[in-house]
Amino acid sequence: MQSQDRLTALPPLVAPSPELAARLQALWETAPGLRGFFMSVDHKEIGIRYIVTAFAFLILGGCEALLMRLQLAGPNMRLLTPEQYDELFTMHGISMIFLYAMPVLSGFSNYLWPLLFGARDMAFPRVNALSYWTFLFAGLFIYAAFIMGVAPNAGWFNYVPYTGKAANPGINIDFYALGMIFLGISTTVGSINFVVTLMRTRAPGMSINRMPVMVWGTLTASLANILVVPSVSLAFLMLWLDRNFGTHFFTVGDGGQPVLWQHLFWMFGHPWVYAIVLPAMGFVSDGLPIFCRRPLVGYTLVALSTVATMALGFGVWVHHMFATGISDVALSFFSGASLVITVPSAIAVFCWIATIWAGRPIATAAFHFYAGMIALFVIGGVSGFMTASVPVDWQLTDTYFVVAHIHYVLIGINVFPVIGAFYTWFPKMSGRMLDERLGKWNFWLMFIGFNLGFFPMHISGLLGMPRRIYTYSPDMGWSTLNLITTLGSFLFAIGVLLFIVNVVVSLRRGAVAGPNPWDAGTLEWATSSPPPPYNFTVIPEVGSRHPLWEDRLGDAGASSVARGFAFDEGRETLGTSMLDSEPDSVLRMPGDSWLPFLLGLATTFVFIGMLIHVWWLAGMALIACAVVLIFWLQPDSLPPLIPIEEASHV
Amino acid sequence: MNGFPLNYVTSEGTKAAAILPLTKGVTAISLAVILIVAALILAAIFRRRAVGGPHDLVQGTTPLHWIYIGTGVTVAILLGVLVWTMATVAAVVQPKDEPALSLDITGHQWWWEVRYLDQDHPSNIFNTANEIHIPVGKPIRINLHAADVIHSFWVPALSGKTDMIPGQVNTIWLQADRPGAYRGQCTEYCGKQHAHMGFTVIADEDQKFEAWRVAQVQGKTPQEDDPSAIADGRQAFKTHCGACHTVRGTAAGGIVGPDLTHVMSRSTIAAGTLPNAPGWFAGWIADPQHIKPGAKMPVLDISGPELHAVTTYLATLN
Amino acid sequence: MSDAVALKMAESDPAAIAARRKQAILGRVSGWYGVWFIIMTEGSLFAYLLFSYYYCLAQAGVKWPVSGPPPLTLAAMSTLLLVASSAALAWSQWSLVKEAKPRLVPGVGLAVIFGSLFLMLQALDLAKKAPAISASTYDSFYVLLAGLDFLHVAAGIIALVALCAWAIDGRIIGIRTTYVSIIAAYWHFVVAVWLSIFATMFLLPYAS
Repeated sequence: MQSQDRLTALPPLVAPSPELAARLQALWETAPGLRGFFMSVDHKEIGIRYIVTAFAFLILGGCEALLMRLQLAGPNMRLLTPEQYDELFTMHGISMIFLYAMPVLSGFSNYLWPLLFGARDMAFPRVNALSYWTFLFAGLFIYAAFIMGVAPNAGWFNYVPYTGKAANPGINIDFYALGMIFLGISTTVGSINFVVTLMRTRAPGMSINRMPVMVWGTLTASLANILVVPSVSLAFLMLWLDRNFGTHFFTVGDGGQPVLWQHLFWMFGHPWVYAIVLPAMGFVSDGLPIFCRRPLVGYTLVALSTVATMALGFGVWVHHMFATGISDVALSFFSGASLVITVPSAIAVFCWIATIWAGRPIATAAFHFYAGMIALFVIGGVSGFMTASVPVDWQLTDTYFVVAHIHYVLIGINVFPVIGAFYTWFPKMSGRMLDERLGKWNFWLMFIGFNLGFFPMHISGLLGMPRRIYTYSPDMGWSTLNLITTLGSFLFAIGVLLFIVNVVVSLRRGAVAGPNPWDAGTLEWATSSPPPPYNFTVIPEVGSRHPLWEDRLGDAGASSVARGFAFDEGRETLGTSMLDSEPDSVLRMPGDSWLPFLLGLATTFVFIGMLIHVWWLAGMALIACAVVLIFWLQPDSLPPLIPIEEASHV
Repeated sequence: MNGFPLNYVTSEGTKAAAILPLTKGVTAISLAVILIVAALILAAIFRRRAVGGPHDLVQGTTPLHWIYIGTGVTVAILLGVLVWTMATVAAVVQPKDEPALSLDITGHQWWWEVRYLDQDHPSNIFNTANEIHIPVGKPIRINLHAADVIHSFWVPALSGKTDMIPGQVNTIWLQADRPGAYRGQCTEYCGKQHAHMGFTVIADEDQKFEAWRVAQVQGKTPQEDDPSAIADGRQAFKTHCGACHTVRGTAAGGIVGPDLTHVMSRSTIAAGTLPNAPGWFAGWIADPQHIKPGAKMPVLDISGPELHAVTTYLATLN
Repeated sequence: MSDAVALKMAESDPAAIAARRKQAILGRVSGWYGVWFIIMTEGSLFAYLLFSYYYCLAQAGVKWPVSGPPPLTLAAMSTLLLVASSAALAWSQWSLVKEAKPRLVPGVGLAVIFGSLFLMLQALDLAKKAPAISASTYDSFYVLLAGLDFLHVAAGIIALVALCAWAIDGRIIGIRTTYVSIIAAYWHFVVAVWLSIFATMFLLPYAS
């Protein structure tokens, strides 16, 4: 043990025993059945729900895309009416960007963080449940509009004045506006939970330079969300007031400014794009070393480039607005910032390639997805670099070139790493391996289908095809390219379908995984698959980035995984300091609770009341929220935290 | 690239020509980067290396200097592109000569109102729609307006996009280097018929342009000796179409839709959607909602003979 | 021994003051960390709102409100009340750290009284201004700024009332005195937000 002095105040390290495990099981187990379903605060349960729900939205968004691709397969098709097409492309964007891309990463982070940290749960387990329920209810709220035939129809970017009452009188946009404010609550409380979890619950010794890279990704994404989600919530609140109370925030003529919407939307929107790729880049940074049989090359560079990307990401929003007639000075500044932001991404790419180069890659399905992601990332990156150059962007913007760019970014840097993460961590979640042979078919179908479908979009863009058109004339010369794109997108969809088949089949018949099927080096692989409700029988002490690889990296004995802290006098986990992760207290954790579900439900009725102007309903629901919160926050709902020097555990 | 009327990999105008080398340059850099990185990935995967057992880990330090070199090269290229970008912006922001002509163009759902300005001779000011004639070889100033929602003005062969935003006027310039017809298109999503919001810029030699302009200024005052079919058509037009459309010199003075005073001089109708030919025109009037679902032009309660009269009358508006 | 009994005993211990002081400094409860991020996100919300106001003001090219600067008296009184409530709460926090006998209930109680008076004045003002919400962009911003601030102050007062009730009940003892820091952090933040709104909507129009 390298720093014996520090540990004198701590309880002794113990080895796990069946008695201890039984005691912890009794303490941490979620109630069985439907009761447990509504009351569970277990981060693993919540993480899996997040992932499954996000995937359901991915499938819905994918079906919407396929319908659009059928409509665009040939010129002057009449499969969809313009209104149907508009609603489909809007719902497609909302589903993928808001209801799939961020939540699926939150799901993985929720599931993995406490395991990566050697902790028993997140810092705020009930807030975790609340963030899931509000995500689910907000998603259903927006999809209710779709089912009722009044889906939002103005694109996910929702520019005014087209979304104002005058041009768009239906209830469609009100659903979207309130749904986004609602979803913002979920994102915000979830993000705060991640940041505090990182500050408080890392295993002793896991200083910030020993955290897995995906933790850096989710940390920066969460901090960004805390800072930028209010921007879009405010924009949607102002739009809702414009539409329902005749205010003049965006309406022309009384001092309102349509361009203000674009500023508020993109001040949020651009950092959001980074927030939905940085954690996924973290999957690659943590996944590649497993399958290259070596630590990541340039850990510090990758961690810092993650932070740098996010920091620069706050200063590039105007590159979505190069054509709005802004001043030359602003153009130069934002063009420069948008070019510079490629540097940290380039560093990450170099580090990944160097990891493969200097490692000994094993061609698992997961490795295929990670390596494929690097290639797609570069294609999406350079097309972003092209649009960062202002005069070029004046030609490229709002054509299919940008459609290609956004899909290379979001599918390349989100979907591919996420599927790779499935192949890597599914065995941890389910205890069973995904089928590798199906996995490779899965990869090649998705990879070929994706490039066949989306690469030609660059060319249709260069040939002038505008975005968001429901049909086109045969005289424009885009017919063949669009047919190829449609074929490719169906091939891609078959690849995704194969993945789902693999998951369903492997859940029942997959090979049993065991605790560490990949012989990986980080803490989540130290516990059984799937982990018990309490994650770790004893909370380990960490002395390096790869506690399970130390014997083979010449660092043997730096960490203590086999023996650790028991903390079994209640639902407890260890509280540690922010930078160096020195233990300072025993955190007492809540058990099963109805409160998160009830608060989520009450919030839903607040928004339903606002939507249909039934103010007494909204008011009653708001009071219900306050009552639930007072119950939640009352002082003795939880036993108090214990400073570590007063802890008395044997 | 004649088969691709909206492409921007070729240029026919001064401004587009100034941007094109930069577009091609960054495209070339991008393709090179893709190829190099793809080669590196493949080499990293397939390079020959010492075999190891499944449990072995690769140890030893890593050559980080390759990463620093790669980053340095990236930064150098980016700085070069940044300088090139600034120089290009500076080159296209203003025309070299004073513009020869000023236009107000207003985006409507889903058509383009074009107003030819003349500070010295107010009587020369006139309106047209969806087809913009300009003299070749001279810079033209265009003030962009929007009547309802945001649109974006784009003629890829001549110039990049600029948004048309309600409550704001964006002024741009463009210049055609060769006579020809250049396709334009709205590129900011503006509602149901965003797809069918095209227009054409026609660049003519001075003389031809001047002749066109002089003709456009004229109204279509009814004549005593008009055949009765035309007079009937004019009457039917006034009844059914006059609330929205103007034919200067007649009682039809609506301003909701395009000015039709010289509609027969245009090559397309319905904002670049249909060729301007008698059959298409009659079909459009009979059922615009079939051709452009959601368009602001309603399906008229118009009888067969009246439709015939209107099209007969419209055919004289050239 | 139940937690509550243990805490009572800890409170009567001579070392209780030292322990409280340490708690106030360290703030180890996770909620203490959480509230700072709530403040960060809520602070961003008001920052974006003020940005929007200044953006529209700059684009409008005229002084807002066009009818001349608004009357100051009532708003200044409101501001003094809110600052007084913040001071009362700060006194209560100070006593927790420095005094042998903490004045929790009187301090929080005073903060509630001052805060409620502020809320009443704001409610009267809003009732007058809200019907004009659609009169102009300035009016829309005025009502939105004042309305959002009203909601935040109301939430703060609910929290302070709950804190006061818990303190009277003897539940805010030992480690749980960090509850005071958590709720006070939010309350001081809400006061700061009002000061920035006061400066923007009431003082700035007087500047030439």
